[in-house]
Amino acid sequence: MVNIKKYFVSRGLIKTKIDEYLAKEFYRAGYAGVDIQKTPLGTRVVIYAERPAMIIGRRGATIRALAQILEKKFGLENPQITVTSVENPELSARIMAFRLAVALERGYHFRRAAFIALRRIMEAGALGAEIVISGKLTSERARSEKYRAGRIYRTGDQVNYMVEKAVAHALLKPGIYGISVRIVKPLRPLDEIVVMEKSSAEAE
Amino acid sequence: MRKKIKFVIEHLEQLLSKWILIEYKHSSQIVGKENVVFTNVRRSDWRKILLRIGEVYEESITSRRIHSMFDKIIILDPQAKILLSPKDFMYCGSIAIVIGGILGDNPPKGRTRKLLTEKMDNIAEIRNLGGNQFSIDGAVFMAYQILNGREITEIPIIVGWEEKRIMMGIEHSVFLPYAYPLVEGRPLISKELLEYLMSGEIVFDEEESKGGLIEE
Repeated sequence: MVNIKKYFVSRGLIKTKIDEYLAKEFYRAGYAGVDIQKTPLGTRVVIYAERPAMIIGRRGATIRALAQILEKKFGLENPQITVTSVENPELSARIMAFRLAVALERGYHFRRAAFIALRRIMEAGALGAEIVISGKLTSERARSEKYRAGRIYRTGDQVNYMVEKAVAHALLKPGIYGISVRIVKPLRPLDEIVVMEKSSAEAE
Repeated sequence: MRKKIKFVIEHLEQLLSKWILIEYKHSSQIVGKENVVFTNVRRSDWRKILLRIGEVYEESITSRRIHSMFDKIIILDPQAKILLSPKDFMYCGSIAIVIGGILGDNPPKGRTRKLLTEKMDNIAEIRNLGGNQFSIDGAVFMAYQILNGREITEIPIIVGWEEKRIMMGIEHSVFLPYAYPLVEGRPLISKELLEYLMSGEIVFDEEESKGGLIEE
């Protein structure tokens, strides 16, 4: 008999490995996540990205190579890959973290890049956002800088469905920068209670 | 202060950045210009700048000419096994308290040991300030307090400091993961450094990829 626990753990592990692999390979394409579904004919892989064209490649060359890798390296049966663009990339923590990493690698100063990214996230309608960047430049002390706007939920059930968190690394000449992005999506917490103040007419 | 005790700051960074210069200046203000010695300052323009805040030598403290000026040498290294105590200063001859002029990493890479302690293992006494990584001015302050008779455990410290500001609705904070002595409940960080960290000046300095290199 198949050990059910082991089966699900191994499936989860494969999904995480694939996710990590895709994040590493396609962070410049604005990789946001992956969905893997088993079908009677094989495995359906849906990749979410900001720029699907970069993952598909010229005449589908990259996606064909990727299908082979998923089959041989990760053991997926007959993978059918679909690449979908993300509806609102500014509200995806992963995309924003990768965008920041790419900006730092292109030579933008992290403070400038973080302020711009945070403003974009808030303009896209997020309830709150937080960006933490840490690292060390030549001849400067290692430090971390935090940029925060709006409301940030850290505890409670709402964290599971409202907050998205992502970590990215930017490899620069003096060393590595760690980037952590937390975005609170524009949803309403289920247990939110708004206390209405009595109007002046009612109070009288 | 006794005249024979000097605070020797061995410049170990490749550049003389604005950040390190602010810490040097603050160190000089804490113990007095006449008690600070900067060694291993290779460039003449840097020596000219540092001359305003202390005595300056091109050679390293590891060179015979410099270390032979002192009868006893104490190196402050976070990786040392023995704590610095007032007893270390009960000595008749001249003493040099050597502090590594390094802007540290987090977690520390142990560069003071590699660049300084290992070269002077046999001639210097190696002490620590409780195993924490202090800023240069913080280490100078701690050593100065111990020199004046306080035990290290009597000096309150804080590990990690966050400086905050609100700019156009965005809360911006800079976290420094180092140990700082507390003076009247506030960490000993120079006001000039905090202003520099929060200002746009550091952005321009770092963007130039020079780390705020000072050139004349």
